[in-house]
Amino acid sequence: MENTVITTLTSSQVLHISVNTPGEKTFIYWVQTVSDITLDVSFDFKYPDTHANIYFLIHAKKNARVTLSTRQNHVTSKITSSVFVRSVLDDYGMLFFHGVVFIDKGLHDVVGNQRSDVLTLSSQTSVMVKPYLEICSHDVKSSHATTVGTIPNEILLYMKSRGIFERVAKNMYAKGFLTHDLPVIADKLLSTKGEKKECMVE
Amino acid sequence: MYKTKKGINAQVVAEISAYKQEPQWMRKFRLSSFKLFLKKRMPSWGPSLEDLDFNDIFYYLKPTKHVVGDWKKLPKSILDTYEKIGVPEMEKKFLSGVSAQYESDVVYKSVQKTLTEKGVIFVDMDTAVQKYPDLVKKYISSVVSPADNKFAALNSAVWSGGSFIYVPKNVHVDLPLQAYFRINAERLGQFERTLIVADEGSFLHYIEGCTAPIYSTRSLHSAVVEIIVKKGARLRYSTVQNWSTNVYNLVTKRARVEESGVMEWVDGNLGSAVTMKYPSMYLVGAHGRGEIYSVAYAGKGQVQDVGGKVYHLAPDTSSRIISKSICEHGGRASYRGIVRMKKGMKNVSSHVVCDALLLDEKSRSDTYPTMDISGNECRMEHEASVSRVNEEQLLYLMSRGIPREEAITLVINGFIEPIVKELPLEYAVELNRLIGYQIHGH
Amino acid sequence: MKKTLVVKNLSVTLKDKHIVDDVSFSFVRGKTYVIMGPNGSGKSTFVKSIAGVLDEDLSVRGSIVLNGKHIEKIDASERARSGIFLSFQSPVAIPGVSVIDIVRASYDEKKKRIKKEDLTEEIIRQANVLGIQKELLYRGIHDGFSGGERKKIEILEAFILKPTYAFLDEVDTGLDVDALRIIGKSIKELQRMGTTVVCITHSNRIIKYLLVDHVLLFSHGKIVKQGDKRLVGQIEKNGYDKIENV
Repeated sequence: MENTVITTLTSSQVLHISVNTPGEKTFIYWVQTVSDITLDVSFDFKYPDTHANIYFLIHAKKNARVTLSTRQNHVTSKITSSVFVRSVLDDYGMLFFHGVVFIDKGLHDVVGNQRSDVLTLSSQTSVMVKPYLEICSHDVKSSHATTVGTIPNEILLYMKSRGIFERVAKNMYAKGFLTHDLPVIADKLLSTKGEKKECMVE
Repeated sequence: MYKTKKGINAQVVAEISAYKQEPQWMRKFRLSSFKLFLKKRMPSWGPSLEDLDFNDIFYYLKPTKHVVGDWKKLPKSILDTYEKIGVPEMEKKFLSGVSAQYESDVVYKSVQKTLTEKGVIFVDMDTAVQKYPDLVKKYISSVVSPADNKFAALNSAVWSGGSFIYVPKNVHVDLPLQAYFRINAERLGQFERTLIVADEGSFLHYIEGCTAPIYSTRSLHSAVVEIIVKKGARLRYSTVQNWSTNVYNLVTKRARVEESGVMEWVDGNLGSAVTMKYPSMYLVGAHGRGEIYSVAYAGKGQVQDVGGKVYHLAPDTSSRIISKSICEHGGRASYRGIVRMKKGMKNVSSHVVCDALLLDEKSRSDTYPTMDISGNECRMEHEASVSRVNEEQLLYLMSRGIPREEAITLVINGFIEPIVKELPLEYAVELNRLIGYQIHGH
Repeated sequence: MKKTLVVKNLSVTLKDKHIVDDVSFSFVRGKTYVIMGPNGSGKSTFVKSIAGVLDEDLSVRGSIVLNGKHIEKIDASERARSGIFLSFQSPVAIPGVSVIDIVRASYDEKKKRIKKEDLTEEIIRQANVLGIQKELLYRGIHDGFSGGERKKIEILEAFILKPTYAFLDEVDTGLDVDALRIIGKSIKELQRMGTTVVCITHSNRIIKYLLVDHVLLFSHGKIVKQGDKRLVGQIEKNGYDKIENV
């Protein structure tokens, strides 16, 4: 994938990204943590004919509390932006996600989407999601979707029936959950950690 | 004729109670609620309520004083609407407040007879306090406490009118009960207090309000509706609100659902200047289920700030919210909702859909949902979308010979169909016609 | 000790309803069995209970003994590592987890020391024989695959994992003539390798490729008739109803 930027976020920070050139852009943010992290990421789309896909891939374990705020600011016409937040929560992991899609007045042909999917692997996890839409133009489209759930039992049973231990099956599924349509990150994760670790999600 | 002075203080509250000749316990309830009203702050979120002046309101007025006098003196917009949607003469007079009593006494009396035979109690709240004090005392404020918010406190202090319904165990009330069949039709009640108890295994469908616009001289409507659904019971509460656009409509509606109970809120918001209403449900017993269907139309100068709240506090509970809103001419519709699932609950699921249609450039749609989920034994799915009327759909209909205006109405009706189909037929028909008229009539 | 899989008094119930009703049967290692019966007769549930992959709301009673050891209480993953394999009738899709991922993970658990590259090569080679497009091996398993592709992937897993007992649930449904021939030949190969093959099917289409030792007819949760390969032809000709009552 051209125009793809992959960033690993390891500490709390505020990011303000101004997208000033047109074309297809992909941003992937990888967050793997066992401690608290607060991220505030906003995107200003100022240039028409921009198509941006933004992924936040989060894995929170032990007592990690991940607080993520995102904002998609559409201030000009002919923009498509999609934010995908995928989180795997294990142990006592917590996620607070507040995402805002804003489309200004007087715009047209803007599509602003947001999706948040959470996979919970233990009974002690918590999630709070606030996906907000603020739409002030009418010739535009905006949507969001949120799902929270755990591994479907059918899938767990299938993997077990292939001789895979439950713990390993969960990790494999979690990795697939985070990266299934992003071969670039799946490969990158594998190569940075070396062949020894089968999955980044451990 | 009796009316209190403008504004509110402890004396006004005490006067209201005295005039109604209420027992001591209710008087105390009002006064302590008033104290809470003074302490509580205005909501720090939501639409602006700065034009609301608590001191510029009469807090109690005997119903007959709502009469306009000559119904021909009603605002033209209201008269036109009645014409368009075909409201019969008699209803016009009643709805416009000319007649405080629905002149269909005969119908009302026969409904009452059937209910009494089944042991169902259906009276206005004032009568209930006098006639069924034990029942009222047991349940009032058990679901909505006066301390909940400023407007619940206000209502608890100055309430008047509203319905009290008790459905005994295993009784199914087949015909929907409608609010305007009550004896003292305080139709223009500003501070209605409704309390419904559906005992184990019972069923009731209650309808409040109507689609035709109600002209109200009062500017603040703040009702409280409390519902208790006991084990295995099912209750559906349908409201269609179309207050004139000088009204602030701030309502607290909540149901407690016990084991295997089912609660369904069907909520239509067409009128008022500002409506803040979030029907909510506490699912406290296993296998309980709650559903909220909401449709809102925000036209010129209107703000519909509506939604729904579900609290899953027991295992094996499920909920569904479908919310549809339409805005035009600068109207603003907001969805505000919360789904909360307590930790450690097994097999809990929820599905929320909120869609908004913006019909023109001037309008605005906001969606503010919150999902608060703990643990790994629950499932949540939420989808929302905001868009304009699909041009492709319009072109298709036009290519089949349907003029553009009608095509728009059809598409919009299709958009709100999941909600409208939950209303009884006459309401559904009226609602569709009304929305069609609202959209093209200005 | 004879190498067997002995099922005794197996019952599977949902609330009060019996789906499998007090079934007893012994599978002898290396032989080939065919299970037939109308839809809802309990065939699938029977093999699923042996593999240990039943839905939580079903209750299982009875015993399943593999080579002298009771397995009815042990986890599906352990049963798989003990040599039991089930090819699912409608396998579930798992986005992001490919068949290569699964086979590799399974090998790790079994502590079979084989080099990763060799394993992948083996998978690709076998996929080629089965006529499976290479790109499907890297995609989420069964995610958007056609019916025929799913069946083939299931068979592929059986080939690589080399189980002792392979239960194939309706592996012939939804296959075209070519696919049928390929799968038929593959199962024959499994037989040749010494695998105990248990095939659930409705027709002769796959069976004709195989050597069949024993045929079981299920009805209402019980085994109502047993026989040899000729029974398959009779059932095809006369239908389930008639055969039951003969």
